[in-house]
Amino acid sequence: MTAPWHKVVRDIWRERTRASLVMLAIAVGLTGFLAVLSTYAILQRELDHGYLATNPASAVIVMDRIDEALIAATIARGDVEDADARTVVSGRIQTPDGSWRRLMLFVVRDFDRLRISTVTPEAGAWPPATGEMLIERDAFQVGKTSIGAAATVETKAGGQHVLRVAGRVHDAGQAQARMENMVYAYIAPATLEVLGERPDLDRLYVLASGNRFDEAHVRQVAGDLKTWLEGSGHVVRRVDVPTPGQHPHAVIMGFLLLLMDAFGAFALALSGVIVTNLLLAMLAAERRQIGVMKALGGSRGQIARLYLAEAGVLGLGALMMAVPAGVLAGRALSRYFGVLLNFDLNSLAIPLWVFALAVVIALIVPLVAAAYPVAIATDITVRAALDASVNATTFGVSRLDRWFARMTQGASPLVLGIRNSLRRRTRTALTGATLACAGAFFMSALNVRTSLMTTADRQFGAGTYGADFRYAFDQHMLMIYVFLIIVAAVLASIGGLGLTTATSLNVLERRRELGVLRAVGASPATVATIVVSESLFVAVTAWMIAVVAAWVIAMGIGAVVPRVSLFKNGLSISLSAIGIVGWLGISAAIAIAASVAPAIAAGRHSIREAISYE
Amino acid sequence: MIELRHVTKTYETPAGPFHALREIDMCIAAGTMTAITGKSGSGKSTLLNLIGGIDRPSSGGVTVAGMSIESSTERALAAWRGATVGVVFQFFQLLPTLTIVENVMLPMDFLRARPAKARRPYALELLDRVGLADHAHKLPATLSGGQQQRAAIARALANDPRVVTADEPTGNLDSETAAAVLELFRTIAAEGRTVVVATHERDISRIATRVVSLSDGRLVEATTARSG
Repeated sequence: MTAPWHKVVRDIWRERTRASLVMLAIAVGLTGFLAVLSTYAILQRELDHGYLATNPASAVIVMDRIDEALIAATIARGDVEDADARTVVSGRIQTPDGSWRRLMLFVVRDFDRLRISTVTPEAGAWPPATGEMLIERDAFQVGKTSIGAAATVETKAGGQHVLRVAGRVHDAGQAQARMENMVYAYIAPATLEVLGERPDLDRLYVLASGNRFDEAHVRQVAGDLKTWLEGSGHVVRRVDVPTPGQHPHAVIMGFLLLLMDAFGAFALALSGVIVTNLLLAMLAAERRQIGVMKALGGSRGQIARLYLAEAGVLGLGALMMAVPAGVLAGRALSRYFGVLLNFDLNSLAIPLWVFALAVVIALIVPLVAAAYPVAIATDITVRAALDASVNATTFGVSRLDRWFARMTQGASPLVLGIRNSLRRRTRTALTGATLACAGAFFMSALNVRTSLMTTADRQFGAGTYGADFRYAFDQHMLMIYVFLIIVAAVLASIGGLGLTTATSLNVLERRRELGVLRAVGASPATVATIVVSESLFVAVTAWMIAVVAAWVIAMGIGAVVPRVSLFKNGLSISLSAIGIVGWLGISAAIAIAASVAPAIAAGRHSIREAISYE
Repeated sequence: MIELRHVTKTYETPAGPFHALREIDMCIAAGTMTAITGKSGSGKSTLLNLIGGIDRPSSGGVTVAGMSIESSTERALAAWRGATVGVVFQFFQLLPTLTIVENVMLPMDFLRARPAKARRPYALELLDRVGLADHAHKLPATLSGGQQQRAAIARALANDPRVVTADEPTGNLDSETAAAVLELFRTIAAEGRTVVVATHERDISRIATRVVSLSDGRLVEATTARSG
């Protein structure tokens, strides 16, 4: 290894605190991204696997009465591999507290020969006897019932009857009962008769022969079947052909997961901003060494490659931290969604492509983040790099500095802290931008919730939250809201990390200056106040920007949201006062927390050590 | 070897333009040792930077070992510096995370004129020459000022340069060490290299071929201190 590469390795060790911060910043973003990407990969695979395991019907033909002969004739056709018959009856079921819930009764022709769109027994009886029903596992909470309990069931034609809950099943082909606020129950035809309904099966479930996943082929088979049935004198009311091999909710779940991935990428980008800030500081400290290397014959390209390599090494270090954390988080998130979406995860294995992508991103993020700092640092002339006067602060030269100094007159610690924030404008801007993004997202999340609740109250009536008729809507909105808050929390962490690193760097660079302050009489408390007030100023400024940004986002959402079924009259945009005040409190808390350790560190060194620091 | 023609150098500062050098005309012959003297702010470092290709003149021409400083690109100058000029800084400027031998190897690694396997043995040879062979694998912070400056001199010689510049090489050394370092420069000059030293040392005239004095950016005096 040549001397320059020795420098790369040893520089990382020498500046291990800063290097650790860089790795941590990348790791936080990478962990979040890896977690959501893993979740996406696991859920997409498992949802489809679980759905396919039920042997879903290629087509469902809703028609007049189906008998055994028709089923046999259908199976005998060359283009049909298998067939079965069912019916679905709507009704309602009474919970123990006397309220009613919507009920969907699936009438299964023969539980022991269930081969198409199967359900899986989990507990209790199988098959249910006459007068009994099996309840889908996710619906027990909705119906507030249990195995062995009796429940009053009412259907349109049959009136009210009592059925016993005999067992629990899992139906992977249905939407979540809790989200729909509906009870799914499974009965035999004889029980349907007990309920006073005609025990006629009118839904023909068919499995197409040949390539079952070729939608065009399946539609052809379904079309031919319809023609054949009508030609045989049957009445066909409807033909449903679901997208082959795809769970009915795969699209919406895929959309939600992609949205999560987008926010994961956003969090990664924000962490990249922190890395840029840190690298700017690290390379500023390397200025003189860069000048020396140039004087010794190093070209800009040679020197730039060294520092880019350092950034790459830090990225790989971050990867080692992020992979186990991201895998754990991804699997936990997958399990959570599995429970939420009511499907079983047979495998939590994460595909190799996810890890490969993580490696690529772990290298790209620090390299992209380092590009600007390295370009700036290596652009300097040898003379400028070695000339101490060139390296000195230029605060006070520009008109903005002088205006600001006039506006903040006095030498109080608060004023000093505020002015200090303008001395490293790029760093302050990047730090503030990170915090402002996090704040805007946090407030937008609460604004969205407030707006949705206001719209729902307008739609359904005020004070009806949680009522039966809007329960499904409320649950969907709650899921969206929880997701937004989780992402906001991650972004707030990244914003806080950015402020912490910036404050630490500022204190480190001004160690001598703070030593001089103490030498002329400033107490440790005064020094701490200077540090904290600088941090608070950045946080409050970022909060103000975030409030404006969140308002703009809210207006944008209100203009963009289409007038779909639930939002017939558009979305009522409301700003959340809790969000605005809450984020101010959170920002201030982050600022104080971020500056405590650096403030203490600033007072720890003796005045002599501080003054002689270089 | 080194020629300056009507050279001026002006810096723009917040307080206005600062004229570091004004109409400098001088020639330095190959194989000589030239000392540049003058008070702080007289332009010594600026003159040295121009000769070393670290800076460019605001006007006029600087030619060093056939290279026109003012008309060369930064990339060309970097390569030329590596091959032609050995730079010794006042504050040593050894890279703190590299050992002494690695610091000496650094210019060779940039220029890549010498095969990779030959660089370390040659670096050790140079360190032996300046009396630091036993300290080759130490980090700079563990060496004295005089030892660090000798290591810096060895580094300056790494690519066998024709020109060696040194800006106040003894400014941070005690008198005994300073004398030893100046003696090293005399030896280097005796090898046929062109040495240019900016210094406050009063005894420099004993070892320098020529002494040039600067005052407020102007050449005020040039004396031939000793022959050969």
